[in-house]
Amino acid sequence: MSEYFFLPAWPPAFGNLLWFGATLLVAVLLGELAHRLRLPRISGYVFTGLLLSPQLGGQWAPDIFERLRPFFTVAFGLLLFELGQRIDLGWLRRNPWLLATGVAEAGLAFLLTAGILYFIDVPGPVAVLAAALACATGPAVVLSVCKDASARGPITERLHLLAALNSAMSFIAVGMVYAFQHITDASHLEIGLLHPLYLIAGSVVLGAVLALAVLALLARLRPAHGTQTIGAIALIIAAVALADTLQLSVVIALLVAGTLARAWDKQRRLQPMDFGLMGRLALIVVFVSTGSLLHLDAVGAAIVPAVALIAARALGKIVGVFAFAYPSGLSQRKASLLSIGLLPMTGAALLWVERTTQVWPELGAQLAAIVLTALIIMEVLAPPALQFALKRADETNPER
Amino acid sequence: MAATEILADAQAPEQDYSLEFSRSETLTLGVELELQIVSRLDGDLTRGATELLALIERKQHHGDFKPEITESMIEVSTGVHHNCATMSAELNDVRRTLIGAADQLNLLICGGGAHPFQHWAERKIFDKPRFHHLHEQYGYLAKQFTVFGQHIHVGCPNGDEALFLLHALSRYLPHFIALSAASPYYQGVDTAFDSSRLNAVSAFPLSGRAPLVRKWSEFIDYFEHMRGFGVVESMKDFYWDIRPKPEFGTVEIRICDTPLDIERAVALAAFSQAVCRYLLIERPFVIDESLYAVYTFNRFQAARFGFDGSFIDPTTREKKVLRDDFIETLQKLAPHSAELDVTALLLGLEKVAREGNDAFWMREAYAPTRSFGDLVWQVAQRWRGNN
Repeated sequence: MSEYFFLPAWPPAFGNLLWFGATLLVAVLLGELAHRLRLPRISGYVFTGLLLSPQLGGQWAPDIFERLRPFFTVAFGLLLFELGQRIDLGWLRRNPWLLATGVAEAGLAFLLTAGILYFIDVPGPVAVLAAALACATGPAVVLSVCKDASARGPITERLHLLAALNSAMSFIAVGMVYAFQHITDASHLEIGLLHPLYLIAGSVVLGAVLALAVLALLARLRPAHGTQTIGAIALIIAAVALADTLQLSVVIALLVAGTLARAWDKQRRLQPMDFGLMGRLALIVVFVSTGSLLHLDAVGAAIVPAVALIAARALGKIVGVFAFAYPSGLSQRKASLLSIGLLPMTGAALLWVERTTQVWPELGAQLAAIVLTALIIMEVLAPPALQFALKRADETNPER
Repeated sequence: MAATEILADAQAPEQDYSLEFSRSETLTLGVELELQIVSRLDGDLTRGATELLALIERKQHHGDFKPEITESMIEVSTGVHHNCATMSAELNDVRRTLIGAADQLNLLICGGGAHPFQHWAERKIFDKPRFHHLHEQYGYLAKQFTVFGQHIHVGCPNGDEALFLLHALSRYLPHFIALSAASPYYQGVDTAFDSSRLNAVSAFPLSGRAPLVRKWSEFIDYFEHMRGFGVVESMKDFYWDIRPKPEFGTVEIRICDTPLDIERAVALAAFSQAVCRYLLIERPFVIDESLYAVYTFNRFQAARFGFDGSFIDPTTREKKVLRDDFIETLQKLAPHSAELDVTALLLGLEKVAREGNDAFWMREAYAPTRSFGDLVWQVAQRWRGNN
């Protein structure tokens, strides 16, 4: 033992916690800068991720995502539960044209994207998988930008609903592509059927159990001092961990949990639930992580299919929204704003790319090039566009 | 009556500045109701008037629907009615139309004089230049006092009679306040008032009572005098509790909170009709300034304590509990209510006076859960007629 045993080793080994603190600090500062530039704060968070990842930060920068991973998963789960909680399934019954809108915009985005990618010689499975990921609207982006702008009103509500719907549909589409791929792969019929079945059924069941657990807990706690909220967060963290361990979909499990909790909440106990600061923290973690996963070096290679994907899915969403705007009670002007709001892509695509690469390395690499490039472009452009749409719809609160 | 109501009035269509009192059939009725547009998510006020109106305009419907100063408010008004039965039928139609459209847009419609917990800064001024102008003029008042009232029009044979009714009705103002009171909660607190909405009125210039003029010609002189000062431009600038409405040929009672359901709204119209008939036929007291000696005292007592408040009869100088005077009043109205076929409606109001008004109902509904979101949900169910 050295006589200077009380001094740390040199060079000192900084733990995750220090990185976490530093990252958070940078994110808060850049988020504020973005806000002063009249951009959504999440643009600043995404940029923080980009800046601190090895590609820009250089050798000394650690793999943020790996270090943030547990926080990321929990934060993402929390955001999705919060989104699910804002979804009113009864609305689909009272206004079936909204369901039609959801099916049309996601369906058309999927078909057009797959079609155009196939047309420019992207291999079939890659094209279909990319399209399945592209038909979703980023649920976390929608929630964050709306919260950031204190948005309230018809466009905000429709955005939440449609983002949840198309995320679910995207998930089912990906599951089906997986099944098909397994079957053609090695005629693993059981695996082909069981994998998506396990994924979908397992996630939904987990979500339902969480919903019941949250409601049961709320019935036993009083709302004072945030007790209910912290209790609910505890359950959410446990459920996220379970979903992760059981290899289920965190997105679907938590989205389903939030939605069902709302639907089954006959005593309206969920109403005062506010994730407040925890929600804000979750949001920073999610978008810094997303930013750190955007590999800029991938941009060059797949720029043409990525732009084709962006254009095709935008067209699909616009046509889908306009087709049912009138019967669903939306003016043409508001329909165009809603279409713009639906443009953000989902960061969950990154997780699917990762999972795909594990199962089918070659397919995964091709998918990664296209999806990552498209995602980089959309992470930059879509949040400001969404914020613009909310402002034009007069649903933001300028006094905040 | 208060800000948004006042401002909303101010955007009424082009008015007849000649102040000629239109002829209308005596004791005909019409009502306007200002209603809250609320989110199903959390029960807070939300934006939605534009979509709601657009959806309603597509269909054949009864009643007149108008935008208000904020996107969180919609005003409905009925046509002219000879009796309360047809008015009730029309309001039922109006309600059905409104609920159908609101359901499609995931909105709730609520009665009540004020939203129990709205944060006024959240409110946005309806997107029209006229509204923006008013917001500039009144500043925070325009937003803070997002309150909701029922206005009742009673047809008068001529301007002189309208002014007689205006002054004579002032004795019954506390009755209207206590009967309609439905704003005990405001900005998240129990105000201890039955009608907190009325407190919002006082902040505005030209609110309160009309001056004591008895002849329509004198009223025109008064108006021209005020216009000479540059204080008013048209009748719409007077925000009195009761005011004449020459272009309709009516006297307009503007003191009421919007009740929680349309049945109460119709009953209030019935009470107005019966009181006006009683006043016009029996001429029970002389109109002079002494009528107004206890006006603000009575008004405050009714807004604060409802039917438990003190009431000083300006015509006899007798002090009693408002509830007792209301029940005596109903006895005096009996032959008139029988003639107008509103006896059952007035019996219902007697029950309200004895068992509790909407403010009482709201406090009872809030007590078990102490959740304002839940209270708003229950208020919305009342409006739907599910209670």
